[in-house]
Amino acid sequence: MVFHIYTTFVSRIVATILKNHTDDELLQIYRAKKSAEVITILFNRYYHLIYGVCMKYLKNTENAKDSTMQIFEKLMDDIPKHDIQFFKAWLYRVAQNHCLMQLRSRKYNTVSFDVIQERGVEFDEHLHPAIAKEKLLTQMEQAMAELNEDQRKCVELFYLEKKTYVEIMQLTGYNFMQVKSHIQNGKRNLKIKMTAAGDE
Amino acid sequence: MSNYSNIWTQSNCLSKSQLLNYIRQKLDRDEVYLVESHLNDCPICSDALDGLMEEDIQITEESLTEVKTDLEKRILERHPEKKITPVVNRPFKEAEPIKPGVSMKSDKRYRWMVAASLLLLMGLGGYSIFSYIKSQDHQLAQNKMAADSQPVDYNKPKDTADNEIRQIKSMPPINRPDAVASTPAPKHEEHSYKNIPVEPLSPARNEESKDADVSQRESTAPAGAVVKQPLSNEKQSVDEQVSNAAPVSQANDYMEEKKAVEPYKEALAKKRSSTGLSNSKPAAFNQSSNQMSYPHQPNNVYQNNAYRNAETIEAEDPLASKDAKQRQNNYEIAMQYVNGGEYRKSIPYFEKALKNTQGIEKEDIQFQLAEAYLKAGMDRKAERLFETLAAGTKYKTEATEKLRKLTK
Repeated sequence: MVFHIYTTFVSRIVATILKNHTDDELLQIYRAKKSAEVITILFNRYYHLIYGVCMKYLKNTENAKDSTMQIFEKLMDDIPKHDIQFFKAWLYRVAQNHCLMQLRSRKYNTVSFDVIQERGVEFDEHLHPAIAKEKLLTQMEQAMAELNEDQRKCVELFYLEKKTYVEIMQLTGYNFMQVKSHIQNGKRNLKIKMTAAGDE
Repeated sequence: MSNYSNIWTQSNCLSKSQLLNYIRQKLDRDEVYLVESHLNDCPICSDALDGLMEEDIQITEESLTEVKTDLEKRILERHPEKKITPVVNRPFKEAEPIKPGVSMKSDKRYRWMVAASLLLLMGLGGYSIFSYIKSQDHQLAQNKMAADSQPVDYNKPKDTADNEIRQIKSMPPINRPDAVASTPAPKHEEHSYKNIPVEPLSPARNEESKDADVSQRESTAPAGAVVKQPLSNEKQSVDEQVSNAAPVSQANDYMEEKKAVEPYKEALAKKRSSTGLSNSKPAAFNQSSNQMSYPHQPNNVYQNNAYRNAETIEAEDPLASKDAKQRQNNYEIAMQYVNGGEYRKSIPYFEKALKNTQGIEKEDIQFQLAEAYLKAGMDRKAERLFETLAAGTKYKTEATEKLRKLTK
């Protein structure tokens, strides 16, 4: 009895500590220990996102569930084999490719691949902190003038005036997806212009 | 509604609850703004949000729960041993209790115990097998002793004169240096038939009794005595009785059933294998070759020595061993018939044994054959043989006396 309580206590503490590990640390531990607990913690961080990605491309709940399981099965096989540097980006790419394969095999015609290719993979960890983002936006004010009207308006409303999507929808009359798309595309164009200006 | 610090997980992506609450519009404005800020930067979260908004939020939530359950189940299937993984510095490793039967110490102890148990089992098994073999030998010896103690029915002839003759014929041979010197035999035959019985009251033997070698033999077998085992050889005789009684009784059974030669040969072969013959026998056994005894008696010195001689011949001259053995077998079968009083049946075996035999051995067999002829009523043949023997050296006196009786 005492032993069981002690074991449970230890396992909970270990799980709590593991949850504070980054993806890379968890991958290292998993490669060394092949622990189910480690891979469970890692997968729990992303399963809803992968399901969402699959759902977006496949437009079917059952297919999305099956694809999610298949992607994570593949992940368990590939993690010991590959030296994964950025797990999130790698996972996203794997999920995208799997969905594309599914679409090709099942001949789905409901998704435009241009959207996927257009977006690409953008992971700039330095942009996440709010302060960094504010600085970056301040520096980008000059570049924003070069954006088209829809993108500039949505970006300004979102980043400078701190409006939410719903507020921007109400102010501009765009729907949710248009707001979202204008903001994300405007942000990407800003980055391209700033990079080009920096190279010059 | 929620804590700002927990809005992102360690992966810097939105958690399931944040996304679902965002879709349900259950987040306050600031949280919504943070979520949307992340969505603008994180394509995977952005795509996930788009996908999660494809279906009703209730269905999406149920699907996510199902996916999580299946995924954890699958992970456990692929990782059967769910270990408690320590953190980087493994702070709990030392505090982990030692599970009984799993730790290294107990594992080593278990191995030692298994090894010791195996050794113990092997020892006990070996001892039990040894004991079993020993008990079997002891039981066999007891059975042989019991068989030996039983009276043997040899269908002895009623005629006491015949019985006396038979006793005389089956007496062991006495080596006579003078006779051997006069008729030297081939080496292998000298060994094979040196024990052929002769007349016990031979005057030559009394004369030679002064000799040391002969006196030793005489001390073990007084002349005219009918098979009395000396005290000095009592211990040895017990072994010999055990080894000889059963085969001899078998031979007599065959005689009763009047079967042909082959059963006798089988019986002899059995006896040979059971007696162990040979070089391992004590010297006292060989020295007792001059003792007088009946072939059918347990202490059948003649038979034992005959076997010993056959082996010696085989060792010395393998080519001649086969004939020697055949002659011995024939002679023994004939003697068995003689002992059983069936003289007529013994005649063909004597005749076979007589072939290719020379020297004193030939005279011995001729004498026995002549006696068999006489007892079988074949007086003419007996007379001829006695005439031959009277012209010889060894049985000159006896043959002359027999001829005189026949003439009368």
